[in-house]
Amino acid sequence: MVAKKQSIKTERKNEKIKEDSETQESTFRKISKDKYVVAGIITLLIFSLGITLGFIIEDYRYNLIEEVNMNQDINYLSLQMQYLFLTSFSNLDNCPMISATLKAAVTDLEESLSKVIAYEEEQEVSEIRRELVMRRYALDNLRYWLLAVESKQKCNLDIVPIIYFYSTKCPSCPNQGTVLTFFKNKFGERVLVFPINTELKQQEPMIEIIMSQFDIEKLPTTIVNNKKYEGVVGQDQLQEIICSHLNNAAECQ
Amino acid sequence: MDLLFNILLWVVYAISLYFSVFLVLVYFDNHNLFKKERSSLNPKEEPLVTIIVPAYNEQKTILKTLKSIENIDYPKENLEVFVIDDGSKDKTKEIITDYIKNKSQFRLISHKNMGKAASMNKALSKAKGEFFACLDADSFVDPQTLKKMLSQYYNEDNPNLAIITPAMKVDTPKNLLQKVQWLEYLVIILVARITSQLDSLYVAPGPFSLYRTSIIKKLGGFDPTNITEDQEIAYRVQKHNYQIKQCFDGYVHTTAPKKLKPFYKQRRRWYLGSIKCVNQYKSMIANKKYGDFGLMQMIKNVAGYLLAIAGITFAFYLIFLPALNWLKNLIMIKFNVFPYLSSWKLNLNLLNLLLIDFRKSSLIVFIFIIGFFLFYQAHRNANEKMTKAGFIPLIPYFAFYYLLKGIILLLSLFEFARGKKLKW
Repeated sequence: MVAKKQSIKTERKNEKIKEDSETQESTFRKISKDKYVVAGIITLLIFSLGITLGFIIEDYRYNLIEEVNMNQDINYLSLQMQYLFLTSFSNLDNCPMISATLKAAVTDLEESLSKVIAYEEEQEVSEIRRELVMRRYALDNLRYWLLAVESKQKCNLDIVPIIYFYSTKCPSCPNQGTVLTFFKNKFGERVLVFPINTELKQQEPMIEIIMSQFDIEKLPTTIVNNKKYEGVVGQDQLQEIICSHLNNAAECQ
Repeated sequence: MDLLFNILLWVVYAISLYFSVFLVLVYFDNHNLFKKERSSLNPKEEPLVTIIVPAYNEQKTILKTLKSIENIDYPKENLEVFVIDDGSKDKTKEIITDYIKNKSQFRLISHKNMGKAASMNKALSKAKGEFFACLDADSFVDPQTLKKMLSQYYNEDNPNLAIITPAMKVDTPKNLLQKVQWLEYLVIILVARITSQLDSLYVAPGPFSLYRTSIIKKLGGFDPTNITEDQEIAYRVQKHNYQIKQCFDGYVHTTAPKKLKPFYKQRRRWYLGSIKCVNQYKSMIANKKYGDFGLMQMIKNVAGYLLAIAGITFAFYLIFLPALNWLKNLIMIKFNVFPYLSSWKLNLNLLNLLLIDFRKSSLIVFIFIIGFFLFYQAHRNANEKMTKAGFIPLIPYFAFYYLLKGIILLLSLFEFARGKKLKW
């Protein structure tokens, strides 16, 4: 059997040699060099067109992001002012006002800044710039959370502030994120979620401080009304927790 | 890792774009010819032509195949048909014997199963025709195709023209998979027509390729050890500097697999065969001696494998993994998506639009435009309306089909790398 195979092999080899000797000079072969070059140029043109348009749009983007950041600053200043005013004069009539502003500000933070974050994460911008934007976002979230907790006590607001510690490397964090978004959508402005990216703790001491305050060891960790829940908090459990902090929510019945 | 991924993505874009642009360039270079060209129906001579029909377990389609040969518009006395029953286990042999009774131009060759290539070689040794065609027993030839091909042989007037390939269409597509293949075959006809202009054809399809008998005999017939002998013979012909041309309106109708499993088997054989052929004839890759075939086609064939691997990898990271996470998210909220829907507003502000990665998407759009252009021209080229199969097959064709083919190609590459042998 093996011998037979080998004989076939040598036979084929001989055939190949014979075939090669029969190979003739080509009569019709041509090289479309001009088309190779033109195709290359067109490809290059399409590439550069895309990249140039990309740069133009990039410029618009930066301007827009600056606008978003400024807007955020002014909103916060206004809110802080309202809070100061409230505490200085202990005029409880301001409560509905501050509640409305707070909720609007948090929604705005979520909608605009989170988009900036998504953009910064997506694009290959410089590491420093990205870090600054992310730190800023974390700080914004923290100060709104503080304000939310304070004004909740002062004005007896019917809201549930939630801090949510996560990291981009933690595999089950996106799931917790989805569950939180679910409740944010379900309860609207009464559930305020403040996500904190723990990867920034090296750069941002405030994150380190709040993490040691709550003794964060595991990710994701969710803090609802100063109570810590480690690991992924499921839909049913979170529903119960949120409802225990809300008065007469229709969604809880 | 992220950077490497991105660089690779750009390289894949660039290469795909380059090949598509090149194809379109050649198309426009021959635009007028493509518009006006019609095959003549009056060949200068009407020599003896041999038709070989290899059949193995083809009881369902063999009769229709034989009838299509009977209906060929050509003098019966100048046709010699060898119908080979390659040891079929079903009623193929009986059907053939019954049909060819009292038909002098038909002859049956029956033997124990020995494979398609070996069967065809056996018939080839008996063939007396100046030209011979093979017709797979699952395919049906148009009555005019033979005359069109012969006219082309005489018009080209090149003794080194060895093969004329047909324009293959899917025969009466019924279900979605067949309709999608119907679309694919139309595009293949146009691409082959463009490729033919560059003398770079690398397949002589089993259904009705017309060979010059003397050249194929000189090259030693078909290779019985190859699983896709129709590709191997084309590569061999190219290797020996003989010419292959396509007869763009010489139609043949072939039966396309109806179900996913036979489709997978067919494609795996094709792809594995083509990988083996490229490997066998790798000396032609980037070989100037072979003109556009070596410099463009062979490189494109190799690049095709690499692009498929890269494409599947990207699809895995960019589509499959996010989809998996999505599903996990849905399970987490117990598929209660109602709160999302109720609070979902259409905030199409400028920032949202700007979030799209313009540079990447503009290239995808360009490649898609070129793809659609060729797709549209392919229908005109083959005299078909885009809506013949309805609009529905267009969706899987553009969305999943190439992914599916890529996956099969990837599996074939693995198999080739493992060195597993595959039989017919």
